[in-house]
Amino acid sequence: MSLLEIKNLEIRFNTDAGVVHAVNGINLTIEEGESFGLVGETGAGKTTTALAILNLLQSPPAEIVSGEIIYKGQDILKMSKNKLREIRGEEISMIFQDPMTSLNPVMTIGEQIMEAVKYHSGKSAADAQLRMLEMLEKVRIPAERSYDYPHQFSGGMKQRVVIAEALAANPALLLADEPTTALDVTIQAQVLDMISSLQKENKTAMLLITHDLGVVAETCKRAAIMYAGEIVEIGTVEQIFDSTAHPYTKGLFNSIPSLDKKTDRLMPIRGLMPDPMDLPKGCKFAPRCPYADESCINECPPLKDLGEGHYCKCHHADKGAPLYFPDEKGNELAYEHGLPVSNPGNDFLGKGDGPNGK
Amino acid sequence: MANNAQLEVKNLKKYFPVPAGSLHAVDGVSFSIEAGKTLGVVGESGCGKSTLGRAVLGLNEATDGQVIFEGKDITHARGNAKKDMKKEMQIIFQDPYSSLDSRMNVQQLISEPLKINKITHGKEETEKKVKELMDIVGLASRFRLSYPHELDGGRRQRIGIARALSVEPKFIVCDEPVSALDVSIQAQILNLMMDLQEERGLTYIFITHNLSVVKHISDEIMVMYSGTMAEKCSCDELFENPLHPYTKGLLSAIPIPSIHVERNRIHMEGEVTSPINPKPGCRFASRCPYASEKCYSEMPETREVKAGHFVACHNLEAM
Amino acid sequence: MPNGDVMSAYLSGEEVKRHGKFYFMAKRFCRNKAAVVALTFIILLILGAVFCDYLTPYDYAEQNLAEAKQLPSAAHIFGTDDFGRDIFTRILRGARVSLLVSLMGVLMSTAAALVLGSIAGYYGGKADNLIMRFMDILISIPGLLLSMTVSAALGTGMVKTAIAMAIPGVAQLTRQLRSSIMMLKDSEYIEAAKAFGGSDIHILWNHVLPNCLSPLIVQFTLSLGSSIMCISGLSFLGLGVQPPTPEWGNMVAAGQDYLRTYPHMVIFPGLAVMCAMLAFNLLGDGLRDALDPRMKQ
Repeated sequence: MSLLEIKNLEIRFNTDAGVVHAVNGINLTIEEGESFGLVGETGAGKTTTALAILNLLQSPPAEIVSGEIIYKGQDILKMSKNKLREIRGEEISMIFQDPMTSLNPVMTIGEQIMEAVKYHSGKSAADAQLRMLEMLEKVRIPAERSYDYPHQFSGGMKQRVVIAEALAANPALLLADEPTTALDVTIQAQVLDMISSLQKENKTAMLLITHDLGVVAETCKRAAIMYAGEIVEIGTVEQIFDSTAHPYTKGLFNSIPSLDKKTDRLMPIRGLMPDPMDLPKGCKFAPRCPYADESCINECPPLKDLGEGHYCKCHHADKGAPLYFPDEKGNELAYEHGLPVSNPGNDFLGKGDGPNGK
Repeated sequence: MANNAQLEVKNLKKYFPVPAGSLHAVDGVSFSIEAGKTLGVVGESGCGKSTLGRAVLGLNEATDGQVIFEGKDITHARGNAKKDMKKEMQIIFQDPYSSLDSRMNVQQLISEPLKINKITHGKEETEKKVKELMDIVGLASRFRLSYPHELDGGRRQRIGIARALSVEPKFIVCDEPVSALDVSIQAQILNLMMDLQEERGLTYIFITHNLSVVKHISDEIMVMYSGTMAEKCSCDELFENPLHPYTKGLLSAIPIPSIHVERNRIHMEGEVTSPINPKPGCRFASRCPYASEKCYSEMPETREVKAGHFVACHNLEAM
Repeated sequence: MPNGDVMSAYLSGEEVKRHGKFYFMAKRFCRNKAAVVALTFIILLILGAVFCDYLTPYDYAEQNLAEAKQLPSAAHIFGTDDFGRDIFTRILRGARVSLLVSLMGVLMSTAAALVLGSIAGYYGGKADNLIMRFMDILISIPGLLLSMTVSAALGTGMVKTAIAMAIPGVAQLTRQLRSSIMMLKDSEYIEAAKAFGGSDIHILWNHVLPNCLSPLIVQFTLSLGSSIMCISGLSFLGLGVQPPTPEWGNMVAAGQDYLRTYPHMVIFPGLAVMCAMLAFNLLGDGLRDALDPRMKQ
């Protein structure tokens, strides 16, 4: 049995302005001790998914329309408040993007970690202190600094404190929401290495939410790519990076300037993410996709099984044969210039909105 | 090389007074850029790269040193000289959310610099020019009356670019122009900026913390660390043959979106030393695996080790 | 709160475009029932004040001793005063004075605050120090006392009373404006305008002040309420508006001799002051929530 299984989860926000379809029927499983990457751009629904796993979404405006989130055989969405409180922090804990907002500025970091330990394990103060010192050592913060307040730490160290706090109760699943986005590269490297090694050491499963494919390549075994509230591709990191099946995933790779070779021109995905209040009825990516045809516009593609746990939500992704990629010269041209500028649905080419009034 | 340089910066310093003393945001940086080229400035947050960009433009007046643009010393330009200089030199800001006044629509935003600098006269001419500028940066004219909050980050950044271009500058400081954008939009904006450079012969100082972006767009790269220049050389040279220990560590820390790259990460322990009342010596010494005693006592001189490759480190031979 | 971030990310864009900013402001405002009631009351009061000569058959000044000191009845819904004048007519007429004088007073203090607050907030330094210390002195004197002193020095009459009202209000508004400007002046779009060579006046007028407008409007509304109170106070003490021009304060003063026997002569003008002040305060709160939804949390 998987540690966590999300089945057909659909979440929307009912706002004054309309209904925001944030998560639209996603399925994913996380095995024990596994590190899983959830990749997507702003507004793809990554954070909403993570908050749903802890049942932390505020309702209203959030509404879980359908779906199950099964943790160790029990549906989190149907749990009682007491049960949820037991699960949060002890079984599943979360690290947020901004370490400044997740630490209490008027408590010393030692107290905060001890509080996390005591609350969940019911340990005595002395035991909690031992555990706190052990955790600080693990995140390589000198023990004497446990008497310091958050503002006395730098960003990277604060995030390490947050990690220590999150892992203090030895959870089975860690949700890390962009844990290194606010940090500098060299500090990011330190923090990622630390999360990875602690995660392996404690056999904690991790759901790492990020927009950085590089971070996923370095830390995760499996990954899912999210777009407009859907998982468009899911598989092992090897499958996603080496036999990329979905045009959106491919587009993401093409958008990143390469460090290995000099590229003259990037190949951005044209257009924008659709308005989550007004999603296209067929494939959500169709308006931006260079390969979209009638069937894509009219029909929502199923999640196709490409074998060995590699799934892709695209009409054109056939088993074992990643089609239509702008690898060859001809396709590249089609990708950049192929769409008629006059087509009102495609007015947003990589170059912008296209020529005005011509 | 100084002969055909469009912009020359000599020993530029910018100190800010803070309660604890003096914050050395930029501490003796020298470089020059040829017309039509891009100098990438990379470094971590707080290394002084944004302050450097603003000091070059005179938005923060330099504490010491010189900024020479096309042969004229503009470090302390005043009055008309300052106004003329601002027509030649522009800036594109990092955050397209906060650098646009949310109460103005696209038309008003783009026409503002035109009106301030009296480039166009009369409503009709201004509107025509705005339309032209929107066309250049790829903004559909139907957004003319939209407000910034109604547009996405990419389009907002296009407004910022149109505003900068409106005064027809020769030189633009780009302060993290794509850092706030998602990758797919980031690529659109980078392409636009490179096209504009080619068409108009613009010179860029491109400030960023993103090494893959800087590699893509720059001719030369300067690596900054805690207010000082660590290394400066051509783009290819930096990635193939980095010499400064900080550059090496920085390059090894970037997560690469590929699973086939085997890498030896050079671990840099610790954090950036505070730039407030810094001690003499190399700023990087406390994190440097090669630091010797000399590094703690003496600030390393910038040396030209190869043609166009400048490094500030005591221990190049030892490494 | 991550939840809020998710929401705001979704709420921008097309939806806002379809309806415009004003639509959302009006919608938020209408959700606050008390503020809607207050606004209705104020509109009615203004209409009553403007058209008071046509709304009742009585004259506000003409004495009719035959009908003096009548309790509320069908003919005189609020009763009559000791000279037989209809109290309802006099309250409506008094609203004209109260509203006009407080509007003049608040406009004057706002104008002064705009200049002083802009200089203090935008330029800072010595000018800021000088202006703000002066404001500290102003604020440390009780408002009514200051108004009384100024009023006593200047004499009575509408404009002079308005000036007396304006002076204590300046300090509050200047402080408010200064802090808003100080927050705004470091924003990137101000820096952007500087990079284009925009002058200080241009930046202040086009970028800084329009962005301080919402807190200013709220403060303006709240000040209207408190200055109505203040005028009534001054008139009650015999300093502000002089009889026979009716003003709520001097009506209360006139009626206080009959408090035991004919309490309606005091109750109705007193209620008018209370309702007007309450209405402006509720309106101010409603406007604050509507103009700046973040303040509500």
